[in-house]
Amino acid sequence: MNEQELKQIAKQIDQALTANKLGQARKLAMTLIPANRSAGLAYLGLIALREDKLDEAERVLLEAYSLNNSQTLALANLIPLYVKRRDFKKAVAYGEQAYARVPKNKSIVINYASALLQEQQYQKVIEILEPLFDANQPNASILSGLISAYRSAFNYDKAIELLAIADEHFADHPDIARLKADTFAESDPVAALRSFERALEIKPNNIATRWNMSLVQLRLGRFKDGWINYDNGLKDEVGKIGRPLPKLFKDVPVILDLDKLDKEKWTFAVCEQGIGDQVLFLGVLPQLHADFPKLALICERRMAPILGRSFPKIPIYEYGIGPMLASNQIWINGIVPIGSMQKEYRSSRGAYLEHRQAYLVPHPKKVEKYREILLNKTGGRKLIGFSWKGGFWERSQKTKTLEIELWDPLFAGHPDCVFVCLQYGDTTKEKAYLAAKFKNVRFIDGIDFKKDLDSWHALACACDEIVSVSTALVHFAGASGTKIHLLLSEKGAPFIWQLEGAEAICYPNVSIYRKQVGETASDFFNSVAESMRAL
Amino acid sequence: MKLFDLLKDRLKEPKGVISDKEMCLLNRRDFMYSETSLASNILSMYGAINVTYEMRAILDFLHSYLCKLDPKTEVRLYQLSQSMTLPSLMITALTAACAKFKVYTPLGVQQVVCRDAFARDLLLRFSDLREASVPFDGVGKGKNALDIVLCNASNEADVAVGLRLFANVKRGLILIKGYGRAEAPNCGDLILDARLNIHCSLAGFGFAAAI
Repeated sequence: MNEQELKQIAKQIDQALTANKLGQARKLAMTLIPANRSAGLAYLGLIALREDKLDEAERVLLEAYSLNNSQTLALANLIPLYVKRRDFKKAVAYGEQAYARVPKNKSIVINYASALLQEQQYQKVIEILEPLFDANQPNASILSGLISAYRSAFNYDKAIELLAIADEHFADHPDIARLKADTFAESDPVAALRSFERALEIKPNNIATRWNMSLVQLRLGRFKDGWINYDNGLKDEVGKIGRPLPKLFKDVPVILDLDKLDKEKWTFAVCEQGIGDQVLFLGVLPQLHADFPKLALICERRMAPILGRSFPKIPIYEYGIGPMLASNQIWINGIVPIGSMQKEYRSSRGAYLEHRQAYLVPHPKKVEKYREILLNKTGGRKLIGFSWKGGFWERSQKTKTLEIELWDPLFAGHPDCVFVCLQYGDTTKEKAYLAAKFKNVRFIDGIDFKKDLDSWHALACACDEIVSVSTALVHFAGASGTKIHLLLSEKGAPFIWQLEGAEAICYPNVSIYRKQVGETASDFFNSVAESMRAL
Repeated sequence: MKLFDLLKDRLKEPKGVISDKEMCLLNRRDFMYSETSLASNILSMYGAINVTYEMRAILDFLHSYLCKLDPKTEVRLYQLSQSMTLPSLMITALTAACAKFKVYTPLGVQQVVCRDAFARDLLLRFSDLREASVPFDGVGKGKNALDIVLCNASNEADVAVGLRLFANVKRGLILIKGYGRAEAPNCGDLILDARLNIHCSLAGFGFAAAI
């Protein structure tokens, strides 16, 4: 077969694919294999991908690529394959190569951008999509990618400008309606909810829309609907920004409806999400245990000492128990992700208030020891724990964090108190800054706040009060009954702190200070310092 | 005391240390203590987290051996030493979904401490499945059968029984605890007679497979 003939077959395959005649395309691709195996396999991979046969697509595309790594067709299709598989790291890796080779190929760029968005590389998304964007004749995928990226990079003005273009050209596009809702989720949740509802009118079963909507519903206090939609976060379509469960539970039944539990069988509540959310969700555990006495809890090892002490009647296991649960379905119901228990026990504001009590128990000897050492060493009147940084995802970090340089009025306003740093992660820069300015700030060496949660928790509970941004510390100390001053930036906050109110609905001793849009950081911290002094 | 405790002050930033009283390895990765390990969970269920490195390795090895087990398999487990109770319990937990499962414990089982009610339930299920006498004539029979023989090299007679059983196995495994101990009885003749090569792991247990 000469090159001319090969090109002719390739052209026929492309025509068959355009007409969605996949059987015909497959036959033609098979004829290509003896002459150019790599190209033939690449086409077969593309056809398998169209048919949603992901295993087959992966096998042939990888073989095509390994035979000829300049095979752009294989490379290009490996990107959407791994996007479909929710393996975004691989999609980005192949996307990088494909983009370097053909940076103007729209389909490659769109798929690559979609993987980059999932990996939170927003600037890169903007960099690759902008050159292809045409404001007069916009492409919906490019436009929605750009809106997502600008919104996530906190460039709201640009996101809103692009949303106006999207509204003009794609008013009935479900992704655009969802993006509109996402953009307003923090600044105007009521408007965001309307946009979500509109997006669902256009496409009722859109999982990603329902998941994003759940967070807005919860923020607005619509707990019943919010918790129902929250279960969409467990689905593959949402990916790792949702509620992915450890792969160790792959073959274990996941039970979302508690009515389906057999009380005679064992049920395993599984911790999920960040450690702060875990603590919040575990507030319902005593109720679940009362309803289903054959209940065990699976958690991270670093959480086990605290949870074992707090829920002494519930067996505690690590994630490694997963394979055993899969093979014992005769006497084990399966797993219930702890976020999914909320819809049963926290479906209203009243339910939260009714159960607003402490339920975590710190290590009593450690609490006593830390308190004694800190008070004796410093001679302070009162110990105040503090933490200024929170969030796991980059976007959430930007929302929650209040830089330490803004906190001066607090430290200066309480000279008779000792401020104990409870911030996890690298604090070198902040330590140097505070040490040079204040004598009443202490940093604790020798405890790894991320690994040794039991000691960190005890240290927090050794404090008389805590002042902190929204971070896991607030949940651990709040659920232990410690007095907390919670500082929320104007950029938004996790749903549990709601949109208004000076007290948390979930923990007994949490006062909320909300920085208003337009309020200066200095005014905000001065007013917090004043309120704390008054207590 | 672990060997590593004696050595650590002389080593410059050792990474990936595996150590017990008999051996110390540096720069090796060990997944058996991780929170994703089933072996760790089984050990904590029965208050046995301080078992020897060898026992931990046995549990982990058996999990590896059984992790892709087809539920249509008919599993027969022969526990020929009381000291193999924890591995038997773990196999029971992993093979519960199998079409048929039998566990033979002619010499009985060790007392174990159940940490909680779930562990007690698993032990109860294990006890219900146990049979004392070993039907030698059934070994190796059945199309989908898998025979697992667990014994201890603490005495030669037990290993002899294990090897005799294993001689008829068509698909399965023999695992001998304590095989690598310096003072373990020499079962060499028996093994050569059975034309086996028992692989002796660094952790100390020996094994051979029939496929």
